[in-house]
Amino acid sequence: MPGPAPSPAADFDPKYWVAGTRVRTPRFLHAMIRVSSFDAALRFYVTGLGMQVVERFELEAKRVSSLFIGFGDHPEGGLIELIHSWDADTAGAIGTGSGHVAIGVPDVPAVVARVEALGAEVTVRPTPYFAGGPLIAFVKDLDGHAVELVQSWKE
Amino acid sequence: MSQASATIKASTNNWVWGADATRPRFLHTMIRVRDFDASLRFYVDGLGMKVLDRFDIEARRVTAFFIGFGGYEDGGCLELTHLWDVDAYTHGTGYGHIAIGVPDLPGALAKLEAMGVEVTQRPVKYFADAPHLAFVKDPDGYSVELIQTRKG
Repeated sequence: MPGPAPSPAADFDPKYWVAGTRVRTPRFLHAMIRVSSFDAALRFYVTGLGMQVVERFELEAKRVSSLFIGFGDHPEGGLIELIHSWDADTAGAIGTGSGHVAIGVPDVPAVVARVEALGAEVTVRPTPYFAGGPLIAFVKDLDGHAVELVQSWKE
Repeated sequence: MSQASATIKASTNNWVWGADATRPRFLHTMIRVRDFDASLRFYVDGLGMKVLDRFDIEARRVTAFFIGFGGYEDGGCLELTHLWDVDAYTHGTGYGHIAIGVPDLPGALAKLEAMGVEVTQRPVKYFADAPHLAFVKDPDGYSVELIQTRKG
């Protein structure tokens, strides 16, 4: 099963704002969702999924705090930005257009068990996406945002 | 409409999303869209993403495009889903945006504007030592943030 995480590429170029290996061409940086509580969000994403807090910003002009979280200590491969309003403990309304974020994990059943123990709702139990395909599951974070878990490691 | 190429790679220990199979990682974010042609004009012709895969899932009456700047192993992808029987979606207020890093923000904005894309936030710095960023709307009205990656 999984070995240690590879160390991040140390190729930060001070001519660029974003560290990582793909800074000279357009790249995906993050997806942003609003959360009602950083504590609850961090329980799910950090304790449950194993993400780390990368940066925190206080945006006085917009009266929001912003937490960037991701896997590894550099932003290669996509971060999630969690926004919390200073004036309302709400994640806002969840529409039907925005679907989910997907996280690849080596062991879907283990992660589902861990986030379920933290109080997250499991909406699709681990199931092969197609015959012979990877296991997938869907869970909701503690604000109801859908998160897909996709098995990245073949047995 | 762009033709998706199947990029399933043979590997013993990991699925197509590649080299980081042994540790958790961000794979993609999914949004539902009304019109693939319009979406691909924006994300492929406008932003320079490539189509990685197209799946037509008859049983669920849904088509999904996976698009990204590299392959599945190169970072976050976007999944565009279209339900065959649904023509409109609500966006809610809880989902914010996706952010794309670009080396040349003014150039990227000019290109998108020439295609008729709505710019909702002109380039701005949120604080002194920060990159310029801007916001545009994709054809469905989803917010896309563009962040300057190159300094100076």
